[in-house]
Amino acid sequence: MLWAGSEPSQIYLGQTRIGVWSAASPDVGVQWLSAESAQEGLARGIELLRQEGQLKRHRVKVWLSGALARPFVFEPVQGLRRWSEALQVAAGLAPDATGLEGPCEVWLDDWEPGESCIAVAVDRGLRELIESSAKTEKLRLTAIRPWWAEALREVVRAEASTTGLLAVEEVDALTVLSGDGGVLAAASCYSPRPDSIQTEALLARALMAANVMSANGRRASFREEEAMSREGTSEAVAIGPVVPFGVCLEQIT
Amino acid sequence: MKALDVDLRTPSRPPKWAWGVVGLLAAIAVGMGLLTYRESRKVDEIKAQLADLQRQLTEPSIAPTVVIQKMPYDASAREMLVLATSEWPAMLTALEAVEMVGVTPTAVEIAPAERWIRVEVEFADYAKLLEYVDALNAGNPKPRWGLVQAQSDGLRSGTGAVTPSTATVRGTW
Repeated sequence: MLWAGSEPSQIYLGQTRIGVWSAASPDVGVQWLSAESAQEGLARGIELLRQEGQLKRHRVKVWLSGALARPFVFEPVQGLRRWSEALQVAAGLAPDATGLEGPCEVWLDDWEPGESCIAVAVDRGLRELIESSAKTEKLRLTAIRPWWAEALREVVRAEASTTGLLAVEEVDALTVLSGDGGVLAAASCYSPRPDSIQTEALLARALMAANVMSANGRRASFREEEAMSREGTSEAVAIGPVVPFGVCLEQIT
Repeated sequence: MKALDVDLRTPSRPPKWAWGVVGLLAAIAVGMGLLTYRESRKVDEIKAQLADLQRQLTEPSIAPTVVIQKMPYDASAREMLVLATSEWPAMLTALEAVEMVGVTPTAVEIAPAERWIRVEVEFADYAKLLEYVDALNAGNPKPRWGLVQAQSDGLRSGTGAVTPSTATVRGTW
């Protein structure tokens, strides 16, 4: 159950699509916008939040699409001993590993010297813009998270023992994660998002590479995705889910 | 598969005032630590004193040593005291009270400090001598007089006179 006021407002930020859910008017649901860039989309999203209610001290959670927050496997690097060093090296490797342009910031998952781990990269400029915008508008940022991580959390919560591969489909990216037994072994991001035929072929190869049966593969997407595609508009479209930016899971066929 | 708790926000750093508070708290902690250390030292000292006092309380007390300084006349006074309390007059009285034919006292030596009296006697025969000693001890539950030595040559001199036998009798009190 969702309580207005207890949940922060949420902004889903993609490269060209932005979703806004305001805790001040939860009944309106998620409103989708189109923009030329993520930077412009962020500004429009904040403007929309302002229109929905007061902004001062407003708590906001920002979801990033797979195209903006990309995972990769950070292989062990000889000589690395400290966390701060690992962060610097991973940030330096991120553009080549993910295809992101420009300097990146990374997040590392339980990094240990001499072991590989999952890293998540984001454009440094975009992160600074999000944080500076929030500061300017006196918003309290509760989190900046990739939406595919929420899909992964949902899969682990619901079917951790059976799922070996997860493909997260968003408007601008396809993120593929695989692993077994409480371990995330591989992560890759495809942006722009491949078309349906390419996606099927890509997932077939990914299942084979991960040695996972198709019955153990899951595909995650927005619950609102179908309705949004049906509307096909670049202007604000009101969709009224109970949980904003909820995850829809289905088996890979 | 496992969930990832990704958060891409810049790790927040504490503001300067927070560092100030931390420094202040650290200074207070150090001060309290020093104070506690000093107080614990005092408590230890007091505990040691208390233990020492308790030990002294349980130990048997040593009697104070009395140093008696002898006065210059100490020896003379003691000698006079011995003479004053001596029983040698009683011994002489006993000696004078016993008269026996055949036993003749010839010399008397009194040593009051040593508490004895020695009597040289001439005797005619041993029986008389022993009878004389018994007469001296008569009336005393514990014999005071004893025969120290006796010498009897039994030789006659050229004039026909017999050399008397001598003996030493010693009395103690």
